[in-house]
Amino acid sequence: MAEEATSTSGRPDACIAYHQYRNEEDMRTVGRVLEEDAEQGSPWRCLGPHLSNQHPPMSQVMGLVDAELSEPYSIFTYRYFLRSWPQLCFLARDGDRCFGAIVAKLERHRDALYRGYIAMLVVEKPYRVLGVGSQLVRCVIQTLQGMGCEEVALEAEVTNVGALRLYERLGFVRDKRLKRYYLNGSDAFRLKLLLPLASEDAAAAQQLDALSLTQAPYTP
Amino acid sequence: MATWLDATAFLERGCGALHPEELVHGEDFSLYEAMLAIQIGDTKMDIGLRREQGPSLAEELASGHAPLALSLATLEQLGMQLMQAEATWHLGSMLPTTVFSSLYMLDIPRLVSNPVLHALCLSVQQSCTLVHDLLLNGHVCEDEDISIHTFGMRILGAPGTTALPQACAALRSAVEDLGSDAPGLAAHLSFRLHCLQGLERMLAANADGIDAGVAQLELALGCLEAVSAAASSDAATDTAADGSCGPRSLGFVPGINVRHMGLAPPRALAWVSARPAAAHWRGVLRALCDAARAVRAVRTWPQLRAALVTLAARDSHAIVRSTLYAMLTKPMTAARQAAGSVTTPAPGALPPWCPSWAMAAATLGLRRGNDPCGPVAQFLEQAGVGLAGWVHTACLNRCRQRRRHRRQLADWANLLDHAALAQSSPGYAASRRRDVRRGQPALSPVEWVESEAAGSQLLHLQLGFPLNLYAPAEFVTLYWYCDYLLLARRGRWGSAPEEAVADVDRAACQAMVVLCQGVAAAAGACMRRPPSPFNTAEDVFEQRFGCMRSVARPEALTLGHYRASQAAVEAGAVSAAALLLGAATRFGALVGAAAGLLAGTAVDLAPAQERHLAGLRRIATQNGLAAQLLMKGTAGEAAPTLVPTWDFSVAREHSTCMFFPILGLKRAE
Repeated sequence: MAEEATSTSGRPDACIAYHQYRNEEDMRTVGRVLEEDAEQGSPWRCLGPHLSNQHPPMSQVMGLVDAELSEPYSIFTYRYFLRSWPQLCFLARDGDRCFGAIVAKLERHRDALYRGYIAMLVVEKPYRVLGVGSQLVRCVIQTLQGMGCEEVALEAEVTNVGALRLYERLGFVRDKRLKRYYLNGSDAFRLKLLLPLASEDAAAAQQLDALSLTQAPYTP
Repeated sequence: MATWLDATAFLERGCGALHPEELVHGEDFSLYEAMLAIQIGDTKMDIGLRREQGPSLAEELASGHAPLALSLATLEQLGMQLMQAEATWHLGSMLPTTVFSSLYMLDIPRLVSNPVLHALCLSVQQSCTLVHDLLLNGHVCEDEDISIHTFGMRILGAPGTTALPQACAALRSAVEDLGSDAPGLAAHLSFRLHCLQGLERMLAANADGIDAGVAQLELALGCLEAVSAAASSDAATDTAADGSCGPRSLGFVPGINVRHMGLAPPRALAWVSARPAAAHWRGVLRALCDAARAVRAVRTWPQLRAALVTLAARDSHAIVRSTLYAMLTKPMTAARQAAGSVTTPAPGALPPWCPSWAMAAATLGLRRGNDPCGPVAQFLEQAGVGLAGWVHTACLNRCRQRRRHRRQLADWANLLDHAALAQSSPGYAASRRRDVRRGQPALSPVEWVESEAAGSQLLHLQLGFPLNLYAPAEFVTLYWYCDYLLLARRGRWGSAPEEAVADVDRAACQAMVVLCQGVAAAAGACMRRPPSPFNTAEDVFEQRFGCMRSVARPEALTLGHYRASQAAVEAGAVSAAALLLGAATRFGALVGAAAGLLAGTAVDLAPAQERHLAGLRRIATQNGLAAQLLMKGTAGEAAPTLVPTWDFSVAREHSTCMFFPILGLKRAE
């Protein structure tokens, strides 16, 4: 979830580190932390001992997203993203505590553009307004660029002012409005960030422009 | 005959072979499949977890929760509740949790012994069936507009209008039986009767049917006033205590159908109370009448286009848009079915409002010729398809409309090729005829396609304003490009009023460009795009305007063209004060131009055009004042302390396809 600019962070002295999702070991580390928090009413207690004890959550990511975002996601959705694109999931920690996560993917869109998609971004409330959300998005976009991504897209609720501001500061524009996109009936904006062409493609585009025979058709 | 096998041992072996958190999936494990999957036991997703095994329909009825012996006052309340239930469905909830959460609606044959109750429920069922079929076959509405899922439950009547005569006969008989005993209930039943008959006749899609339909809906509106007047004086007809369904005392049982509705959570239910329900019905019926009258007045493509742009701006309910689309296109479908082929019917076989090759031919002053495979005939055939596609786009919701206008640019590109072929063919000169009334030739095919493509591009860009897609930093580029597109259409609108209004819109675009430049120079930050760490101005320009290259004409503008047009301003050769003075002057001239058109008699403006100009006059007045105020702020030694804001509410109320904001200035905190 994006930061709320008007709220004050409850953790100004946080020592924040970012790292990429690695493997299940990573999950077990943060799983221990989650179980320590279980006393405080972790939403994952309802799944019973099987998952929370033997299989430390997929867990911190799922717990974070489930607690902070309104849309329900099944374990299959997390599996889909984290199994296929683990390098596009980043976590933010304060010491041993994982408090922020971003999940993304990269695929060819309609057999044309190579499109990155940010599926989930969440930062716990006490850690907002520290720039953590922006930094997680930057980490993902830099990785996507390295993988040859041509554009990045995501959806955000039209009333989520904080998220919209976060992404627009990073260069995203509102490409479309999706009516009644969420289960609660709210509309969404599809935000897109078009990334610059790779240098060889840019050179080819410049050559094509130079061959153009059109005069400037319009000068106001 | 199916044979059942016990797969328990097989599944246990499979589970034993899986490691923790592994997943078995088929080849098509995409995001779609992942999102569709339900996690059993998760309270947010598994509706079965919360599914109360309450009494079945038979048990509820046997318990006496839907008695047949109802007083006339109770029947009137029930009628009002069912009207609210239908409005709740129309406005975003689902059929099984609204109208068919009524025990009376779930077993209509049981009600025969009470003729008034039977007529009421049968008519509600027919109303839902008609609307369901209209939306299903209309192809202009999606789940985001309205949900028509019935989950396999047999709750609706026979498809189409098969059972409509029975419902209408029952209503007439019930009204007659009531006499003067219950005027409110009689008005309600009459409302139902006129609604059903009105919609049925309108969907015949011929001149007589549409006129008869309008007459019936006008009668329904009259009855609705009596119904809503009676309801507003009776507080008992309002929302139920739990706010989620109609009152149990009137036979509504929330969740009665949940066991049939699958495992995914149903849409949220927001029960509509009496006054909003009446307002909703009133709005739908009025919009249907307006749409029907607009269709009946159409004779040419420019008239059809103007009418649809005006109607589209209302973003009417799915029922209205589907009916409108049916009125416009059903004659073509019916004519093809009657002919038993997909060939286009001859002119005269279709009503004058139906988009077809004949409409395009009339617009361009072309004859089709005897060779159906000739370039001119091919072009006209494709033009008819293009017009039908544009009509379809105009009947979608606003969000989809904008996207479809962009996608349609590929269709215009295809049509441009056909137009060029037709224009260069040997038979072209012979196929042209002079427009006798005007004494001058109509547009050439290429000019016409270029103009229509520019129109689609303009709508695509402009619709971003009411949908709140643009940051203020983008306004200069957007209005600059819109000015170009209006220029591309100059002389090609097809009517003098549209030409006159378009000229005023061009002036407004140019004034907005100068105003935004002035505001950027004076107040700075909010009008400038923040530096992006990942892309450049070229990428942003490409993102907004790259689609314009889909069609060869009008030629797409580039960032280079934009920079050339802004060079003096970007170089700082023009001061903020000079820009703002220029903007104030332009808006002053715009006020005069709009007022002149409104007061003058040279051009016969349509009501929508008058409304647009009245709004533009107000916007221009306020923007001129704001520009002067900001200009005075820049003249002082102290740094400007005014923060610009942009308000589109006046434009949304007054305009249909060109939107200009009012500049507001507030003190910086």
